[in-house]
Amino acid sequence: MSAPLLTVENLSRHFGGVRAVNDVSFAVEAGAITGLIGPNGAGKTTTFNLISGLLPPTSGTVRLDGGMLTGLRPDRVAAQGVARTFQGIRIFPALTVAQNLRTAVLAGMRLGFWEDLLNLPAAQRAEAAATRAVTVLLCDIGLEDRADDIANSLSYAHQSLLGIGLALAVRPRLLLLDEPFAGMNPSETQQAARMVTRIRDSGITVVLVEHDMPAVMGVCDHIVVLDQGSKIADGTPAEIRSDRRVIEAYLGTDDDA
Amino acid sequence: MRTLGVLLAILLIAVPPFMAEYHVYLLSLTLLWGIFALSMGLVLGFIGEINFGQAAFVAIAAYASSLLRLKLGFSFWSAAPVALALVVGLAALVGLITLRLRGPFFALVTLGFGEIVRLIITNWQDLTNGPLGLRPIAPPESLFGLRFDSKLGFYYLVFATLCVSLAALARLIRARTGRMMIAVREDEVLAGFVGIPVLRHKVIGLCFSALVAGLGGLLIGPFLTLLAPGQFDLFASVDMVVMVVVGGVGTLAGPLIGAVFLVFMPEALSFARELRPVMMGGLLIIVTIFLPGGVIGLLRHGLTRLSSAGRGRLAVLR
Amino acid sequence: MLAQQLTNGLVLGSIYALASLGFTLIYGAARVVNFAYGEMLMLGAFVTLMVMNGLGLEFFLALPLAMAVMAAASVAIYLVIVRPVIRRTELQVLLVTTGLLYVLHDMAVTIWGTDPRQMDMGLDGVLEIGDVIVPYQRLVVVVTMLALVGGLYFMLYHLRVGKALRAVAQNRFGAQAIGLNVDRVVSFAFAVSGALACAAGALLGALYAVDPGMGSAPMLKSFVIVIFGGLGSVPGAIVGGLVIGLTETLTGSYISYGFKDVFTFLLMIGMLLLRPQGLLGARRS
Ligand SMILES: Nc1ncnc2c1ncn2[C@@H]1O[C@H](COP(=O)(O)OP(=O)(O)O)[C@@H](O)[C@H]1O
Ligand SMILES: [Mg+2]
Repeated sequence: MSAPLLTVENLSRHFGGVRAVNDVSFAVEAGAITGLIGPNGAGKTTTFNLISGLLPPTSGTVRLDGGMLTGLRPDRVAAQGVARTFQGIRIFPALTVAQNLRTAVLAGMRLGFWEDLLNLPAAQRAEAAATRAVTVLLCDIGLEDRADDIANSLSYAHQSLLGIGLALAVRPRLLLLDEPFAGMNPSETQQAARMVTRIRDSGITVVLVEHDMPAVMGVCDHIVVLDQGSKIADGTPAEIRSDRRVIEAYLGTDDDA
Repeated sequence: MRTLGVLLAILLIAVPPFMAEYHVYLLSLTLLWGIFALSMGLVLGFIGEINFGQAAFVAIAAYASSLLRLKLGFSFWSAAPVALALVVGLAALVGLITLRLRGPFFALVTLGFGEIVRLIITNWQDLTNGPLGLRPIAPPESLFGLRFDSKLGFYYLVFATLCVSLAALARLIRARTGRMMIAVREDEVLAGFVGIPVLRHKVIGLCFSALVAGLGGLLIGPFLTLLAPGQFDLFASVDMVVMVVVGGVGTLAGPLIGAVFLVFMPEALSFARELRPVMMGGLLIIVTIFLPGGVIGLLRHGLTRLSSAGRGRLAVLR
Repeated sequence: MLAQQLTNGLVLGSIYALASLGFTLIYGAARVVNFAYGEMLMLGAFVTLMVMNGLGLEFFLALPLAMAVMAAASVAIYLVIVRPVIRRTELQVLLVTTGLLYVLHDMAVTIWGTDPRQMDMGLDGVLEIGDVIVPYQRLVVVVTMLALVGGLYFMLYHLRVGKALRAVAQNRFGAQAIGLNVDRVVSFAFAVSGALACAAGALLGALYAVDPGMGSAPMLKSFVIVIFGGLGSVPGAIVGGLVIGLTETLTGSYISYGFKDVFTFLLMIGMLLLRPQGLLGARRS
């Protein structure tokens, strides 16, 4: 077994009395798709928020490739090669699809303040490189023919794809996807799932949050199960499928929508 | 749009020599407000905040440069960079303290900042001569053979300043920095996660805004030949806000249109002067509710789209 | 001397606290920053004066009537200019209330002119305890502040509408989810805020004078106070008001009268740096 890319150790986050995440530890193998599953309210999104720097943890640490992520600002976490999407989608609604992607691509480029402002050759090279990168990204997420549409006007499924595209534009080593299949019909889900596999095959490690178990079983190499803030299981899809506590947790909360 | 701008610029250069002195004065006043509105437009449209202390930035540049000239014998031109550096530095400080916080802190604190600056100017009488004001403030010394001691000469200086400000801001919003600012305005959480340092870009925006306000501030002393704290009250900042909103938030042309609308029109037609504040406040409310894209939005989307524009968010313009 | 200054500071602080309550209440309930709040104080003072003169009532009889009028006016303001933009950007809410500031101010100047008017509370004389002197008028201000705060707390913690208001303030979506009519609750918050503005304005007017410019100073103090005490926090406004009142009186009499506002402003900046949510504010995530 190679060294894990992401290590989460004894991570906790409490909101007042609510223990949203409670002493959770797990490791994410490089080059694999890890599923983070659990019923609604299990603490999956909060775990992402802790990893990506949106929230400070109450206690515990997150390491990427040995380096500490805990305590870094979101843009610093992004610079370390961690990108994420949001449950319920977050894009720049008033910009076009291409402008959305371009923004994220440019954000990651090295370019001096004055070089940029004075439009020196370095800035022009960066813009040209960004144009190429956007073309590739549009292709990756399958929105080539929507490039000039205002993001707001896209269908929900397409907005979700654009959200993934924004994350890919960061050129991440680790990609955190929060319920990317929510609101998609079965064929869209299948397409998106194939895209996630392609992303993994291109060398990006993926952590996938879903509360819909069957949707992820087929895609994930490894699964971590949360319930009420705590980890209750950790293993291959086959192991998870037969785990008694997982079955209980899911049977107990059949009201997920 | 661009050809229209060039045409307008040619008119603004060619026509004033044939205009009456009063009209040249009026035109200078309008362009000066155009500079201020432009500076406020950057804050409103590209940071998404209101700066109630914008008039204080103007005041600081005006007082600093005038005091350097009157008390230490600086020339207008050597005082300018010092005054501008002071304003930009203060803007960075205000920005670093307030813009890292979510919520209306920026608006509230800048309002306090504006009042404090006015208070200091009023009470530091040894330096500023208090409420009586500083006078007389001479026109800028001639530079490269250009003279600014006539109404017309000064007008051209104002015009040049406006053009430089406009060009700088136009470049800024097309540059990467500007597009990062727009992303932050659109959704600062998401902006952070795609790798944009959020605070940094807000502060840069504020510094540019203060720079432009300061450029206008350098001119206001020589323009009025007098500086007094009363000129820089809250309402001066709000006037700038109204201009931006009426013209169109999130554009560069909008604030200029707003300035023409609100300075040149009523002055030239000299109607309803006592009702001006009500007009300003009412306009601000009505335009914000029914026409968030302002005049520019109206021009771009046409009258047919009026109703939907009023209700929804004007995509690119907002 | 010091005892007198402390007393003056506490009295001043009570006035400030009173002037900040309605402002912070609306922010807490609806995340609306009402930049016209100072002008509503001014309007409240004029309305009280008009009720006194028009109906020939004593100050303390006119005040409740005027408070009802201002409550209605405040709800009207919410419905007509704030509600249309409340679901859009925060910037637009700031813009409309800023516009309102202009409109109310200039309306008052047009209708009533700029000359200050006296408003008689009908209370003279002073209370002397040792060498500390407190005019009855000021004592009344403190008592009224305490009564209004008591009433506000009773409403927030014992009446259904008050509990609903707290629920909305804590979690708007949660409140909606359990079936509260958020719009009605926010309207109610505006009504209470308008009534509080009226009381604060009338008392200020009676202590000093009633004129269209009287709103701007308390508005600025309110901002400093609510940021210091915690935006949206009612106890924060009270504690903040007292602290700022004391600071102002003490620095004003011992350091520099002309620059006393600078000290309170610096106090606010210090709070923003050390504890951005304010003294008693809840941290927002
Ligand atoms: N910002 C927050 N403030 C208070 N409670 C929160 C916050 N975020 C999440 N929670 C609570 O933490 C728990 C876990 O939520 P979440 O991580 O969103 O679950 P999941 O994504 O697994 O559905 C829930 O009970 C939720 O109400
Ligand atoms: Mg979730």
